[in-house]
Amino acid sequence: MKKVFHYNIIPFFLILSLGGYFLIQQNLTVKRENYLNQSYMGYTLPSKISGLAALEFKGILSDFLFLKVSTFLGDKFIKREMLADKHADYIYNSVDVITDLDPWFWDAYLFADLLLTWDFKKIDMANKLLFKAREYRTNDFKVPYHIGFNYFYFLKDNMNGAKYMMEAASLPGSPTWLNGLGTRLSVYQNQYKPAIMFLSETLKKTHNPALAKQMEIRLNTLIALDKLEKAVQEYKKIFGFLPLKITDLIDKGFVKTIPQDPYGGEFIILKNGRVFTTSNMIHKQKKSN
Amino acid sequence: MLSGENNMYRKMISLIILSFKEGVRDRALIGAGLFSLMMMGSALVVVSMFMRDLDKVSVDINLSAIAFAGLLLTFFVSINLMAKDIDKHTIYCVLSKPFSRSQYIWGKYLGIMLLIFMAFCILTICSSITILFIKSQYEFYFKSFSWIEFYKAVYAQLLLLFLLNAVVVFFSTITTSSFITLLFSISTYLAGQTIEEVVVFLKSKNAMDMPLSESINAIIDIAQYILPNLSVFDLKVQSAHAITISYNYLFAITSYSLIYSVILLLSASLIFNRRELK
Amino acid sequence: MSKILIKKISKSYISDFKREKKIAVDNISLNIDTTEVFGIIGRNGAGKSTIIKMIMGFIKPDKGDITIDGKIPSDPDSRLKVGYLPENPYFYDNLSAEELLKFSSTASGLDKEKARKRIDKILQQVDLYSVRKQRLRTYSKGMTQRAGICFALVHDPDIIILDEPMSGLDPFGRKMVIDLIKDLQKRGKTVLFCSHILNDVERICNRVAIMDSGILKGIFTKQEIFESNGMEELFLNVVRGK
Repeated sequence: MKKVFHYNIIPFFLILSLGGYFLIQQNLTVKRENYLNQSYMGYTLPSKISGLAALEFKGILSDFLFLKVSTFLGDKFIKREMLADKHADYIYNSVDVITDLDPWFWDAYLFADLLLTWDFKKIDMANKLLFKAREYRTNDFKVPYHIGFNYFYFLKDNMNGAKYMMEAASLPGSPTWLNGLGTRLSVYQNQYKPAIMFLSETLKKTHNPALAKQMEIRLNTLIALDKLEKAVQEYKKIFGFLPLKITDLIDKGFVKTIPQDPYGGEFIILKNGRVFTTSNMIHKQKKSN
Repeated sequence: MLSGENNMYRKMISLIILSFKEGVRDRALIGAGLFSLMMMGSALVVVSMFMRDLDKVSVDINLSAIAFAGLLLTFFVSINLMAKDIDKHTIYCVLSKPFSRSQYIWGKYLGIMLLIFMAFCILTICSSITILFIKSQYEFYFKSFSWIEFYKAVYAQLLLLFLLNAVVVFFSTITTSSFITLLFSISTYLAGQTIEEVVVFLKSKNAMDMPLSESINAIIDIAQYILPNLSVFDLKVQSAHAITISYNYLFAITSYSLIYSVILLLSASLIFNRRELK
Repeated sequence: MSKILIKKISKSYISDFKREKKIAVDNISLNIDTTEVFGIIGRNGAGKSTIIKMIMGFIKPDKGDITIDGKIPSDPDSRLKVGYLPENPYFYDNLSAEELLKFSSTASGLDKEKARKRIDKILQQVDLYSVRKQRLRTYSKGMTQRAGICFALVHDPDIIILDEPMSGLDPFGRKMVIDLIKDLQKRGKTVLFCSHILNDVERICNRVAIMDSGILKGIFTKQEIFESNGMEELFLNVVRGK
């Protein structure tokens, strides 16, 4: 009879422990979240080690690491958290390792390029990675195209910009409009047009919806800036001087409305007639980490 | 009726089929198969998280799944078939029949290879279906993808397993327990996968600032010849980017795998001829 | 005419840890004739299995020669007409009895049609026909032993070597094995078996060799066993050195 009793209480204890497990699991999840928020995951295993440890699974490891980096930073973007220099270093180091594992991995190069240039203004880092890509992706027009764009748009170096644009134009598969772009670059200096072309072309081939949305916002802002700048130029042509405020453009009928800056900044007219936004196309930061 | 070439042929076939059947019903096989199918299935989801190299990612995952399944087969099923056969005396079944020790080694090896070849055929079909499905979903991102390069990488993986299973057969003839065989085979695999990089690293260091002693240099050279260089069979990254692998290269690695395996199997036969099966 | 000829063989093992030499078989000569049932009797570790493994070519004698039908054990053809049942038979778990027997008969050169008939017949004889398609891992010890006997006999060999054929069998199983051996004897086959179970040995053997600690204590005919009040008495007397 004792045996029977013994077996009867097992389910009871099982339910009790399952309840306990559930509570602990929930508690642990919260604790773990706090831990992860507090600790910074900016370390990267050098490729000398990870490359050896990956054995013949280097390709899939590069995918995994890239996924880790992009979700980590994507999370920061969604939460509008401040991105500091350490994040730029993290991106650079990680993508360097990822592209040691798979030196042809264009997704990783491009990811680093877009973030390091637009968001961190670390053009030298971005170009360093792009030059690495150029060693391997020898037949890919996109690599010199991005290098050229960085030179032209961010570094204001027209000579190098033109050089790499022309290199891109000579490679197979390059779009026809690229052909003239190299020579026309100087015409576009101090204009938003090349950036709009660049972004819309990149956007067309981007699958990841979160990233595509980011780029779309940026593209729309650039289009708005371009539109306003043209209006300012016309204003100057007619009146002989620049408008004082951006709203003058509505008052005088050059534009119907002033678009909203999705980044939360305000559009301002500079003394040289260029239009900028106070947000500098970076999301307003919520909190620092 | 009892001798002649035809008979010898039938005899060997019966041994190959015996090993194949015993292996094909190993439970580890189901585990390996399920694992790689799950990995391939995960490709369907994972791919959507990437920006544009979707072809690369799906090829990476599928080739890794195939490679991993092959390794599981080698380290669990082949070890079971070879080392445990000797360990648990099931080998008496075969050797009480008119088989020589060498015939046993070759029959077993060919049985294992048949098993791995069949597994590869199934896995290749499954991964082709997976890739085809992803391709139909994201046609735009598969412009540079190449089936031929994909199958070349699968073929190279098969060559690696030909060699690695010869290693398993070799070690099971010289060790007395299946655990030691497993340990030695895994060590050989790890060393074979890394030797190339280690050598490149050491030699480059050598050229720069830290000259290596003569004896270490000699050891590296010897190790390079003795250990199989398994990195040569890893075409996964190239295949993922549809980088063309020349048929010359494929021919070279085919010969490498064959010659290395034949040397191992011949040595195994020699050693096994003297082995006492207590 | 002798089928199996063993001339002055010795075998010693070196134990793995103590590096001690242990003599398993010491200078033994045996002649096993055609149409003879020959038993080797002895305690565990007497060296019976060692002799059988040397005949099968699994291990090599340190000294001496063995011939089976005129062929040495390292020649695979020496096993062409041999049927062997290992001690504690352990077969491929994932095969069915039918598949195991198919291998056994094909490897010994039987053609398909003949093999199929033999397999069905012998499985019915040992009462395994109904479970012939089941995996061997599901078999009990007695069933495995019976499957092993089928494995040894399916290709209709001339020489049958059985290592502890009675172990793990219930009385019905033993009766079955005895009947099988008697049948083989009637058909003029050579049977060599070893056992530490003394019952029934006298009923089936023409001659019995008694071994102890690697040494051959004597070979006795059926008549001699009978005269010394049965096998048990004889064995105890011989081993105690009387």
